[in-house]
Amino acid sequence: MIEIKNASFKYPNGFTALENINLTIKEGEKVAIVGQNGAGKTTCVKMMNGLNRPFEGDVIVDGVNTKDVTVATIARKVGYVFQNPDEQIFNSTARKEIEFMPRYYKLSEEEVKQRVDYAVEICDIARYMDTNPYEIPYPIRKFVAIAAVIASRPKYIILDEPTAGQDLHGTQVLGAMVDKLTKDGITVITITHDMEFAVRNFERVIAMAHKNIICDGTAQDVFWNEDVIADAKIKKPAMGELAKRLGLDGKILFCDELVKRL
Amino acid sequence: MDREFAYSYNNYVKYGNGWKDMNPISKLTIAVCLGISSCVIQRWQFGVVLCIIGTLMAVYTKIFRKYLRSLLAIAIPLLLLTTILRQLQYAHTPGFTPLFNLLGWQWYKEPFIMSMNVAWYIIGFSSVLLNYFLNTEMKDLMLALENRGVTHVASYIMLSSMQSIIDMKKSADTILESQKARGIETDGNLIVRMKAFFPTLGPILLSAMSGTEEKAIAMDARAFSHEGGHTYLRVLRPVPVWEYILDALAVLVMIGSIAYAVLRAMQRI
Amino acid sequence: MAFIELKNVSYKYPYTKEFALQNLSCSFEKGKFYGIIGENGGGKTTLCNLIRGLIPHFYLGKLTGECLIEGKDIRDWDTAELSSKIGYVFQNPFTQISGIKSTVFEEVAIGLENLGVPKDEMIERVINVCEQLDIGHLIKNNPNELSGGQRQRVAFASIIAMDTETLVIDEPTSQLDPEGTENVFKIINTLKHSNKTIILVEHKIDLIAEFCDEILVMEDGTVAFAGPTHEVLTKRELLQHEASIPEVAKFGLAMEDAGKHLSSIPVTMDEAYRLVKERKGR
Repeated sequence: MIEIKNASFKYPNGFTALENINLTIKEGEKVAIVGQNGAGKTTCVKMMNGLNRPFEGDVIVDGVNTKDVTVATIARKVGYVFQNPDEQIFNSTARKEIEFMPRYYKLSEEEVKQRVDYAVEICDIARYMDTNPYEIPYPIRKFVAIAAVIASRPKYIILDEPTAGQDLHGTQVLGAMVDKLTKDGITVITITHDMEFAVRNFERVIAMAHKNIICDGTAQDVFWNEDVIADAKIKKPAMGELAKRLGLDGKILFCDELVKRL
Repeated sequence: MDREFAYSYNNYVKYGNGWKDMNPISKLTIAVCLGISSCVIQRWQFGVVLCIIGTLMAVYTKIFRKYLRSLLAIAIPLLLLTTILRQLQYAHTPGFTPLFNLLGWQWYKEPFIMSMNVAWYIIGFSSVLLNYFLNTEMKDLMLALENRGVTHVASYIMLSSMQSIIDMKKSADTILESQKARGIETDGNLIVRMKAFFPTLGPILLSAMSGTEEKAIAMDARAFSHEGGHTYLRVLRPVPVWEYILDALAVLVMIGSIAYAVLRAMQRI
Repeated sequence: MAFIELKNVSYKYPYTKEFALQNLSCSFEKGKFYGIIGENGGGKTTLCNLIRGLIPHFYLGKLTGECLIEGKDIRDWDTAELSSKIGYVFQNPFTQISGIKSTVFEEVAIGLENLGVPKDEMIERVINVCEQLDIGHLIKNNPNELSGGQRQRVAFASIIAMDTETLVIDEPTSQLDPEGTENVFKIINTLKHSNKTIILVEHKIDLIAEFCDEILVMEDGTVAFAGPTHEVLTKRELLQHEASIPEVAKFGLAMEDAGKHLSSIPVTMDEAYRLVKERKGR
């Protein structure tokens, strides 16, 4: 369980990015965080793995206060994939990159192989394993970065804008990944601008605005609350928008629901 | 939109202080000539005079804070080091004039002057050059050089590499964070830190390199390789006659000081 | 005659085994707005590189077939000349800033300086473009300190200032947040009314549906489908290919499957609303 309790965060230049946040994420949840840039999404998730230490309040990961340990220690539990894979990847092949953390943790050959296979299958990158990451197209390089974090087997995985730059196939792989990981007991938390992706794959949606959480609930709670939509400057998913224009009730967000109603 | 700002590009580049507004090459000539003079004369008096002029100049051009910080960083260790070394070097040379006794350590006048000569010629030199670099935008220098026939390719390489150093520093921070977030321990003893340093090196260099190809494409789209007239939005003031006169004076000072140094050397022989 | 014409073009990047373009034929007419969609790795960016002359002048590799720009083969074009004819904006907002200019105003003028435009004309053109693209408030800022979305708008301004007849725009919003994306959409909207020939690669299918006259769907280095926007985006076969179609088009198809036919398949929200209303009225 990740608990953020009355946490505020200030940057060294004095800029307050979060004010008195409270949030609990339980094991096995699928959580999407949405909102405009500057709303504090990245600042908030960086508190979950200790990269940002709250200025006031506490962040507790499985009973451990992030203030008491190094980022690397928390990283064993909370993996974080940055938006830009080029900030992470440094090995000469995708395989070495993905094997890096399991080997860093000095796991047995067998276990390294098992973890790598698991990550590679989920990310659908088997054909790129022996390629230099910089010769792999950018969208797929993002999957290499994700696989490398999955292979270190954290209990919680945070993805920052995974769908940016992905095509339909990439987005589908990501959707399946979220399902598979949570089925295997790994909590997935994602920041996303892609509302269709959020609606389709996440049970819980958190909308952020003005340095705080303005709505935390189901996709229906968030996307059918016009105040939240306006405040967080997000876009209602297409089917929701159409249903709203047609004056239908029932908080419709999906195509089949809408077809049934017409 | 601030139209006044937009139309200000119709005027010559202007900062509003005489020294900064001088043509970067005229300025460079003066700074280099005076710097060289200080090096060849090697007298503390000359160095001190240069330093006083330089300091007044720094106050006038409002760069005093930055100037002082850099100058002190050079001057203090230099003064301490040269004086102490010279005193130690000549501690047992007979015939020197005693200066004072510091807790049983006898100081002499001649080695003290020698050390002052060395320290102050360097300080004088630094003072002039600091005044130059703190008061000259690199883009103005490159523009002046382009006006004298340096290609815009050379100018681009120079200016963009300076920017990429700034960018690299920024990306280094993010890369370090990202490696921490993966679980690589970065806090601790030297070995731990060295181990953490390695994974950041690759991405920093690679991101700088992979950026260059795209930059080249972007610049190509901006007609970078277009041949025939290149025009400039920013134009430097045509060099006024008095700048040439100042340059000539600076060259004279340099020639004079070289002559002085040569004469002095001949006298010694 | 088509402005740009490709006939049986194949291309392989140096040191790679697979063809990035395979036997590709297509043409682009003056003044039309083209959308290119399709899976990643399908050859969209390579096609842009070819039209921009980066292939074969910048990227070597093996090029066969014919690529004609105004009837002249791409191999015979001088890249500098081409850059004043075909503007190019691409994904990465960070590498499209020159890094040698200290104000946005200077940054936008950079192409005009290279083209040798006289200074008074240059200033007027930059002012106009900055106003048109709504970046007037940024002209004093340092371009190297802007956000990604702002940089992308500045990149557009630098290119649009050069007033090329054609613009090739490769995934301009893929690295931007919704606000940045929306601002770029606004720019694309102004471009639509400028009579320029525009070739836009974009994953955001709703944008494509709204702006484009014609669409090319690329797959495995060749054109899988091409034609007027409405015709292409309502193809059921597209669902089987790795190209996305608008949510509202999927909805239209789902209505068909449920036996609740709309009178046609919608591609934009307005159209969908109109068609559903119309069906209810029947």
